[in-house]
Amino acid sequence: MKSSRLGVWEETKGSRQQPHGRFLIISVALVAFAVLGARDAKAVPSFARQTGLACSSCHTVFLELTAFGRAFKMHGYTAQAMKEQLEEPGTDKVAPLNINRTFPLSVMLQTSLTRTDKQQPGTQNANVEFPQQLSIFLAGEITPHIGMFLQATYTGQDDNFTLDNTDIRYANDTEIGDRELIYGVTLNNNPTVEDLWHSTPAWTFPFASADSAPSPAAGALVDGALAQQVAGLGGYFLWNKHLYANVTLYRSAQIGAPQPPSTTSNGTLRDVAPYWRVAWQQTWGPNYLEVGTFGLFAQVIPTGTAGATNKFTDLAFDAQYERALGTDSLSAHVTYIYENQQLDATHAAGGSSNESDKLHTVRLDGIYHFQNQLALSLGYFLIHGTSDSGLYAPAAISGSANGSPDSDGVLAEIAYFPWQNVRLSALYTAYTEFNGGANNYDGSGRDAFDNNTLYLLIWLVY
Amino acid sequence: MKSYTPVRLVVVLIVVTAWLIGGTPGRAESNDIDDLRQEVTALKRTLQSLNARVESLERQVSARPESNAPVAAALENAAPAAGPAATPSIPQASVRERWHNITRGMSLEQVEALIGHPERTMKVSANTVWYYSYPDVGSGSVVFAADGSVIDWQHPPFNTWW
Repeated sequence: MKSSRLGVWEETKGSRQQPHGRFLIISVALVAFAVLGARDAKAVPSFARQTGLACSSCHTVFLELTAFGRAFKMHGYTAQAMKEQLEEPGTDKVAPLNINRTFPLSVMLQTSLTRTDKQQPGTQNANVEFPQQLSIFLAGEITPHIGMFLQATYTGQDDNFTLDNTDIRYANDTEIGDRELIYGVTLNNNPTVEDLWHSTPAWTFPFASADSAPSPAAGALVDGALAQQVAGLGGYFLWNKHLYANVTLYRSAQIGAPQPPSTTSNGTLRDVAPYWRVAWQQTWGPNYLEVGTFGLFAQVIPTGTAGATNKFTDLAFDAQYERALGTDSLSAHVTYIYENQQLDATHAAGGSSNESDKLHTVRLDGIYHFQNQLALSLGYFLIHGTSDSGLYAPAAISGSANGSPDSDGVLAEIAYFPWQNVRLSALYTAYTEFNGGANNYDGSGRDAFDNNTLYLLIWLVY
Repeated sequence: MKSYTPVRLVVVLIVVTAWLIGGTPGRAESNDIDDLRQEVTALKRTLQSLNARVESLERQVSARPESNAPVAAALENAAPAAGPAATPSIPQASVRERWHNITRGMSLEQVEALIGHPERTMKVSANTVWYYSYPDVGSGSVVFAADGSVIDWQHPPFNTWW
């Protein structure tokens, strides 16, 4: 999310990290926000206006996708069989112009209160953000086979509008033998934003969280660090309603940075970074299960456009389970990400103690939906990795006294939906370990549970 | 008295024969125009009849809010079957009011009584979706939980641009 990314960016710039290690710290620390930090949330009313389908056709509660929601996204945000469109006379098969009757515009407002158990030194606790985010969406069908999801977001912290998650798709379907094949092309700016499930980073629980509370310093590159910093072109297919595969190649396309990348650029990708995804989904009775894997390989130039790189190899496994329980429903997600960090550039510049580090990220969550009006969620997260006193140096609040990236804790959330486009929620995050310790983890006397966070959110979409 | 030469006689015979067989070109045009006029007249009568039928249906729909009459079907009958350039003649106000009377917890029967039988139904997870489509207006849907009660709906875009 833009806000979290920039928020950490600013924080990191003010730290005492070595220049060559800066991007690594940024990418690693940023991802930490992706693990626990504020996340994008997308349930777009313009899709409902376009298709005439109620929100709950595509979402259990926003933004969790139902099977139909996944199909809608898979079909490039178009619904050929249901769409209402204007047609001008043309050929018998294809109209020369197809335009939605409704303009695909939506707006979103998030306003929040964030309170940590112990205030951050020199700051006021119980922080109110009005807005935390104000987003404008252009989301809907462009042609019968092309659709887009484009978000521009204003954040209170940055006080500007900027491009947020964007996914433009072409999709079609055919048959191979008697098996259905849906295929498409995606152009997007965030690895995993093109995914259909909530066990991949762009769409994982919690769907919104504090952007002003401390968050763990470490995280994998695929876990959100490249969001809005890259552009990717990829292809995907779903065969026989079961097998899904996606490959996207990403290249640096940093927003707010000079173009083209130059000697002053930070975190530029060398060549392209391939992202891959394979998943299998199965339904039996009231049960639905998806199991899959995804990953990313990237060579990152910390500063400039040439020279030594840091190589990140991310390999992840995920699963999503859903079950209808009368008028209620249950969903559960699990994600494991393994990252190998080959820190040639950063280590040579003295930014890390080790030439290579490992990082493991685990996330679990379960969400019980009382019809589509109330959702109770419980989650657990774990970050465990190689200690590196150069990478995770002591610093008040954000640093680590022992150089360890280890963090873990639990999340609990209650969300109430008086209307389908209004979400009122309270999220509590409790840490048992933060940046390598439970007590005095930063070397400045702060304990992990001091960062426990209560986050109250009003979230409106129209 | 005129005298006819053989050549003149032949020409006269040819002309008369042609007239008897197919008529003159001018006569053919006249016949086509007459036919078209008759068709236009017939179409006008049909149009007047259809308009009267539409007005009758509209009156029935407006006068019987408790009726089980399928509004969607009535609207489909009332709406022009031509392309999008045709002017809609749908009583949107009535349909809008009915959609706005949908409330959470309504049964399938109550919804059907209110807005008529759906154009199609879909199964989305454990929920049932009733889908309605109104020519020149747009589409809407009502979502029922597994117990048959309304949990969500999306009304058609009545006169809304977005």
